[in-house]
Amino acid sequence: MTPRMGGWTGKNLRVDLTTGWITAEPSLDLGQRYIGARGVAARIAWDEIPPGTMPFDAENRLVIGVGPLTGTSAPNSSRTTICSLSPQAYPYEWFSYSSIGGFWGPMLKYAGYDAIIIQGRSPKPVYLLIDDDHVELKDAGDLWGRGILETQRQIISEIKGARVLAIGQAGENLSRIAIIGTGTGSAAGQGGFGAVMGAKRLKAVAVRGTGGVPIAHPQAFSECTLAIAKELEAPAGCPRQLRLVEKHVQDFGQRFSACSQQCAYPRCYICRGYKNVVGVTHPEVTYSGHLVCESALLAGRPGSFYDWDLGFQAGFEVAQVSGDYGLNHWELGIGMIPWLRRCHQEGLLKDLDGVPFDLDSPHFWDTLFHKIVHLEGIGAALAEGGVRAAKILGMGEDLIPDYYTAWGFAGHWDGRGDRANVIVFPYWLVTALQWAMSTRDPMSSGHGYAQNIMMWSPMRSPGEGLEWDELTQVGAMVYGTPQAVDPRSGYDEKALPAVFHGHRSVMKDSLTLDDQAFPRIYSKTSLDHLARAAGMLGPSFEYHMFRLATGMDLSEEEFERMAERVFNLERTLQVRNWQRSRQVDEKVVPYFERVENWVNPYLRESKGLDRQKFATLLDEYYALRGWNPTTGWPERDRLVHLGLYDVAKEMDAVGLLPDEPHSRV
Amino acid sequence: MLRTSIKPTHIVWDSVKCTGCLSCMVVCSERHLGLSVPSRSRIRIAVDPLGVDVAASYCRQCRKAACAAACPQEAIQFDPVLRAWLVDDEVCSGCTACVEACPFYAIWLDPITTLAIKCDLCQGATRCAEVCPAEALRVVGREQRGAR
Repeated sequence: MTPRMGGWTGKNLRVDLTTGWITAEPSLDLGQRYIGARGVAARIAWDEIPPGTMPFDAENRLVIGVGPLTGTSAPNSSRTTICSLSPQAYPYEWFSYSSIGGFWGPMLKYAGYDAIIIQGRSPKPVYLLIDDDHVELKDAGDLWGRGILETQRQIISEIKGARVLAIGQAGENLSRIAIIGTGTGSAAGQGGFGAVMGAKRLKAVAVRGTGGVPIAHPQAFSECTLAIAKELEAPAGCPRQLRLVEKHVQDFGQRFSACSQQCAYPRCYICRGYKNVVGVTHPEVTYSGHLVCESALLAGRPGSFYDWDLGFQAGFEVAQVSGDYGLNHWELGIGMIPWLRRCHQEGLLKDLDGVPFDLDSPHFWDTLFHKIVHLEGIGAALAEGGVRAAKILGMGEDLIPDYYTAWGFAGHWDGRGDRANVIVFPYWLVTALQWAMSTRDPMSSGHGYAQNIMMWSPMRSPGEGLEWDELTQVGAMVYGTPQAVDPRSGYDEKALPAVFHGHRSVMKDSLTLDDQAFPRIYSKTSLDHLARAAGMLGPSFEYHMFRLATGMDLSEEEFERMAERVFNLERTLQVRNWQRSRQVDEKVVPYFERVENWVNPYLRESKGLDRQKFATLLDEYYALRGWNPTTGWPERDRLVHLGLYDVAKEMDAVGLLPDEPHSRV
Repeated sequence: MLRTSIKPTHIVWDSVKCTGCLSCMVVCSERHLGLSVPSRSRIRIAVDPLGVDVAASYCRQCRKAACAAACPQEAIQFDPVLRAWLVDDEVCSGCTACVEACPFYAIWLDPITTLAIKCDLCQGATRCAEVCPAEALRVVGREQRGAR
């Protein structure tokens, strides 16, 4: 008897916007080799995006994918991963990825698809409607020019029960910091993929699905996901829980509200919902929806580095309005606004085309957003993102590294540009390795290591988390050496966790699972503080759910190899299309040489990156990866070992396969 | 039997605590069908896609069950062990009389089988209440049985 297969739907959709052709393609083989979403997109990019293709070219692919766990009872599994050439990335506009939550991904699964591959460029604005088997491109002439909220509202009024991914005016006008959004607080933020949709004249993708996702071992799977969901009730990578604010409950109906389907956190420290918040700049509008991590930051955090004070109502409005326009909150809040403020402080920027520079004024923010999305005055440059704007305007270029880490992206868990997330040496060494190997801010891997450790540490959660030696002991179990987590370990054994979490990031973006939720590592409920559920170890949760949902008979090592295959395919694509090399990776070094913002309590002094020691760390990393330490290219042995024969063959043919194996593994 | 003398076991839903994550709908369908298919779930949570409001349709296992009274086939019977109203698939004709009769909008036709489906307390497992991360779903009426 053939074992029952599950997880994947077995179909991808291909939509050619130039011709209007829509076809279904088998997806099972791709899934069984590349897991789903981000992994499958990497293969599609390898096969279909030749070197020289740019983000706004018709030939660029936009792959909107979900994975074998999306839409199932796997906790926090509602993510969609969007992959394409990134307009935001700088200086290489390479193939990157961005994840979005909400309720859209499960709907795509229920409609019967694992991914949508979008190519070409429509002659006129359209939106894609997927209503189970019925798929069509519909005229979006009326929707063009409208915000993400209004676009969703109009489509849903016509297609009851649909969930919608949409772009706002920012995406239409090809702003490189344009998001793709859904609901009131969810965005595929990083990457600028909203502008890719804009270039393709694709306003939205609406999905209504009523079908189901088959599960290979339904009973065992349900037991497994229930046990994991209960383990997750200790909140996201963090022992802390959020509380409601009595005044906000009374005034704005503040409540714990799931921004995404299958959210297992009742009191998520990131997200709360509000209703009927009357606008300050636009008093005729009332806003309802979620305020999450990035949007809460955008609204200001008085008393922190991001100390503008808009008050709750105006802050909420600022978050909603910029989200409606389709602007990237992380870029605005961590990158552009702090950089602009600095330019203003240094006398480089007097005002905003005559509007006084005042971050405490809601009207200032409103004007800024309007200028950016409509490319007015200074907004035309700012729409390109902070890094490009500095060059275009010839303003504050030397200040950019205070806020932007690498590849055109603002700081994130790196101890420097990102002043919201407290992190100390040696933990940002792993972040530095992750940034060095990434195409964007590497947070689907960074949250797993740095955020997990810091949020559980006595520095961030005194009395609520774990002690340093407890964290170190757990690290020894997960990474094989206590040096991977020990606060006194310096440069020792930092390549191991970077590789480990690189694979975890592929798993999460491919299965799909929320990167704040997984991997599960630390726990206060188990005696040794390693997360566990129903006999499973925390770091193995992904594997068990994958195996039971799909019915694939494979070992945990083989599953890890699938993730490694994807990681290597992405790297090989970067080598082939953008000449990625060790030299390119090392571009992150000067940034991390700057002295960190905080101090490790054991070291009592702030550290910067030691170039020599980091070079050794890179050697260790390449060795673990089976990549050539001189060129940074994946070697033949490793590619073949991972089943990427054809990829190795093509790299050989174009002379991008290292001649001699240097791998020390 | 249209009215039961035994106090039913049933689910209660807390509109303030519910986060709208839909976990209950997904596990309900997995439990009954081995598929993740919320459109065929026996509990429905409606979430405002552009807000934070939630609403629920779920069976109260009424003592005097309008669905059972309305059924011309007498397909809906009270199970005294489970203490819940169950639809007999063999007898149900899918006529929708129960759907129209239920004051709580808690019984409907399965879109595939076109037979009536309603909460059967998972034959005792009540997976929705078990999975609910917000404790918005609870089972009441069990304590009298001595179990749990």
